Amino acid sequence: MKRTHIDWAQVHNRLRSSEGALEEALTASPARIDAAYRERAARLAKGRAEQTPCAGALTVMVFRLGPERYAIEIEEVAEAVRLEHCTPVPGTPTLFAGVINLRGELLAVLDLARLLALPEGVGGESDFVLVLRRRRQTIGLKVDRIEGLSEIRPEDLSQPSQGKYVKGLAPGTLMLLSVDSVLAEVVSKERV
Amino acid sequence: MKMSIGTRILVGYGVALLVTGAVGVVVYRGMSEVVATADWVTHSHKVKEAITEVRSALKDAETGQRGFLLTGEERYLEPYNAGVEAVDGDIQDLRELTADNSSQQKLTARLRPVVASKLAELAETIAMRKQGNERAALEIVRSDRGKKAMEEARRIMAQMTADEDELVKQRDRAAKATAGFVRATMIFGALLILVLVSTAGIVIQRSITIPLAAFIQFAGHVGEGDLTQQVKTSGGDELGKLGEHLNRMVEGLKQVAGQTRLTTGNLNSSAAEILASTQQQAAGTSEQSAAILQTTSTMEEVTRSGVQISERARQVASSAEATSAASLSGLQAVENTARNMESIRDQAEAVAENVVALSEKTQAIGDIISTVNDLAEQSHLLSLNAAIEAAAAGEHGRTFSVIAGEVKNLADQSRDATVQVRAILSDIQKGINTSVMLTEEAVKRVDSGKQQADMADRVIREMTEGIQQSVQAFQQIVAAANQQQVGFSQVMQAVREIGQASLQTAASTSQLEKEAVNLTVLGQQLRQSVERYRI
Repeated sequence: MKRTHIDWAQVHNRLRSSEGALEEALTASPARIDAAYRERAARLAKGRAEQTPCAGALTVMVFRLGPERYAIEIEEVAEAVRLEHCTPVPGTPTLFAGVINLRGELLAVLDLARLLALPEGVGGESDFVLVLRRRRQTIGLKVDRIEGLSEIRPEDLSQPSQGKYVKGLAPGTLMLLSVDSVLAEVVSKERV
Repeated sequence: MKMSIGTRILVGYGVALLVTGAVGVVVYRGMSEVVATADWVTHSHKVKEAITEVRSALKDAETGQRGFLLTGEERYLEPYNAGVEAVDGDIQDLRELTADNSSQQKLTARLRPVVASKLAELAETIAMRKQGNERAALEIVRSDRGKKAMEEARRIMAQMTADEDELVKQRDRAAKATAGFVRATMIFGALLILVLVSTAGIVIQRSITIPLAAFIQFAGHVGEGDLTQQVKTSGGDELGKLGEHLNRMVEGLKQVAGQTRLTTGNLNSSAAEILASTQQQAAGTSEQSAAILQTTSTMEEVTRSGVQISERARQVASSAEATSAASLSGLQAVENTARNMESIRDQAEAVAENVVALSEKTQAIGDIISTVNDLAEQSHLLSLNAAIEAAAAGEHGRTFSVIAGEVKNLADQSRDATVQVRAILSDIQKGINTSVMLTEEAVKRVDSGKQQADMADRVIREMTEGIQQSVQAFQQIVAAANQQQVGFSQVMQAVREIGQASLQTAASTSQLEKEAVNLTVLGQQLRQSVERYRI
């Protein structure tokens, strides 16, 4: 229990000021809109300056599987969609989580966490599917969360000591996956 | 056979007495027979004497006749006259004496005519001699008429004498036989009585002396103080009852001795306690005297302080009246407090309602925010696909990729904003919960405050009553203090009297102490005399 008594006048003042602030925030005044635009322009200019493209840089799609961060080259990706209504298919290898309906066509979804032998439970909150851009077959990779695009300079890539699916290691514990070796593994597993 | 001693004595001596009586009767009858026989012997002698009298009278008459016949002188007729005169009476006597004996009566009857004829012969001769006719007279004599008559008379009398002698002999024999029987009866009776009396005496003596000796020994033990024994009792006679009574007596004596011993012990301890108490009392009496002096001075102080108490009580009464008035206003304030508490509770409940409504509004905001978040996620995905398409377009898509990045930034900002709003909403919800809890707590406290106010109300009412009672009590104290002053003076008087009484008590206590010492000595003597008995 508070020893000091509340100052009701101060309380009324605070109420009035917060009420006014809310009113002002909710009202789309021209000054506010103008300020927002100016702020955004400044930020865009700053981003453009930072994102100066350097020659030979790899543009990659960064995503998460559990605590791990992975990336694949942007050219490999055809589309990113939400994982909804994934139906398991009987008789398929366990690497396949199932199939989803993508604009009227069936898309096989690969359980990437299982392929990479991540601990059980990882990938339980998978929300997205990365649809791979391949001619012969359409296949999707099940991932937890998509962070966005990033660029990796080739001199920053280092060769991995182990792991056959990892093409290289980038700063920030980012592992660049080799889509070809992943798909080859899938094909070999399918044959088995 | 159980008989009482009296019965035994009566039986023993009764048998002896009966035997004695029987012997006495037998002896008496024998003696009576002997005496009767002696009487009959005497009677026989009298008869013989009477016969002799007749004979001598006849002889006298014959003697006188012969003298007169010889001499003719009248004077020789004297024996004749005396004989004639006596003979009739003598025969009459004889007949009376032999009235019981018929043979003797017959003989007497025969004798009478013989004697008459003899006397007639004598008278005839004497008459002739007087006429002077000696010869005729002699002739008659010579005719032996007289002589025959005389001989006849002699014969009859001799017969009678002989009969009597025979009777005497018979009676003498009978008397001797009776005397022998009496003697034998006396001897055997005496022996029998001797045996009976001695037997009865021995039996009775034994039946009395043996138990009596045991009783004497028992009584000797009792006299020496040994109460542990019991005498043997035999049978239901007087000695048996005496033994039972002795046993009961000793039993009673044992109880008495035991009780007396117990009582003596109690008496001794009581006497010791009395002595101790008396000594304590003596000490207490002196302390009492000192205490009375102190009491007197204390009472004077108490009297002075009583005056102060009275004054103080008066002051307290007036201040208590003031307190009573103040407590009434306090009561009013408490009632106001209770009412205010109730209105506070109502308002706090209204606050809680409002806060709950706010909470529901917050939930609506949360729904909106989740929609916004969903939109942001979709925008984010859209920006990613745009970037992919831009990358696929190669150099031509470069500017488009910038727009896609900007869209992604907006989507990220929107998502961040929703995250912030979620956090704020969570804080608001926590604040609302806290507010509701605090309000609930406040309502409870207000309830508690209301109860306390009610309690305070009751307490103040009781207090007011108590104060009013106190006012009355102090007024009574003032009155009582005045009475107390009067009482104190009476108490002072009483204490002085108590002092005098305690002096008297001291005197009587010393007397009592002496008596207690005497009582102790007496108790010890009594114990010694009682301990003589073994129980």
